[in-house]
Amino acid sequence: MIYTETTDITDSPQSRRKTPLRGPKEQVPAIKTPIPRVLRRRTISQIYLYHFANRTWQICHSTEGRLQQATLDLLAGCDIQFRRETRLDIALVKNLPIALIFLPAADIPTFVGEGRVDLGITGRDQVAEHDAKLPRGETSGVEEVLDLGFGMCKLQVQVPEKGDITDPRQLIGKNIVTSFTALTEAFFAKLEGDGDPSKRYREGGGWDLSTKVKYVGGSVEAACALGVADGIVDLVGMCTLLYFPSVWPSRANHYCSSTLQSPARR
Amino acid sequence: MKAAGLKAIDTVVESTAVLVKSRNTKHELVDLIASRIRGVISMLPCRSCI
Repeated sequence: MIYTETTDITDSPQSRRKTPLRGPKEQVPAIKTPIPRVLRRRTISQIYLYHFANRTWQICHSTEGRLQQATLDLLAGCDIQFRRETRLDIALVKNLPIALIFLPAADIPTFVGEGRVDLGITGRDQVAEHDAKLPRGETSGVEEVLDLGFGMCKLQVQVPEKGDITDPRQLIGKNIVTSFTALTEAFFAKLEGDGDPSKRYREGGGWDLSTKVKYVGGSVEAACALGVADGIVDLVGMCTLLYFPSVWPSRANHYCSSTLQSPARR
Repeated sequence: MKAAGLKAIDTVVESTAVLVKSRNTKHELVDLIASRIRGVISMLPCRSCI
């Protein structure tokens, strides 16, 4: 007899036909840290804080829309089990001694590079912006481990469609609006120095530019129409989302349960 | 970009989501999580086939 994933050995053919394809929903038992006797009578929030203080390792990831759902799917696929309370930026993982912190994507390189956060998931553009803001000669505390392959986007120089600008060199000396000021300044320093940004070094850090780069937090694309800028530097998404088949968590669960049960029943 | 009447003339940086780690971390679970994430990413179906 060939045992497939869905075959239960002890079932009769009738009941086997009725066996649902989806596996039984089994809760994986969480690893429980024993609560010391001193804390047993304390309130729940104090115990919660105690547990959090005991966690030694932390991961943080983006709370911004583009990356968020894919990141949550990815963590679920890695069997990192957590429940995020509404309005809380910290979630404790049930089956590993780690805590998750949800932060804006732009803040993650700072927390990972200079704080006590060990791992982070963010965009490469944000890491590059963080590195570009560092003083010259200083090595970044952020190290890339893995390209996750989703959330692909480009940071592009954009100008009005009806204008006469076709080359980024024509923007030298004009107003640029962006959320990525450090990367933009480095880009225009390279343009103004004819490929050699060191010509535009300023004493004590920063760049000596004739182009005026201004910071705007959001709605960068409106800056040209509103007369603030001659050109903008903004992200353009490439619509590459992570494809997670919705069935595989239950399949995986079922596969585990059937392989564990069969030898015991023989 | 099109809706705002803009056109792209140059690319500053190309980006994807990345997993980053702190350079001075020594925690043993970092490698475990990184290898798990690597496994999940490599298991996913090819994105160009969808």
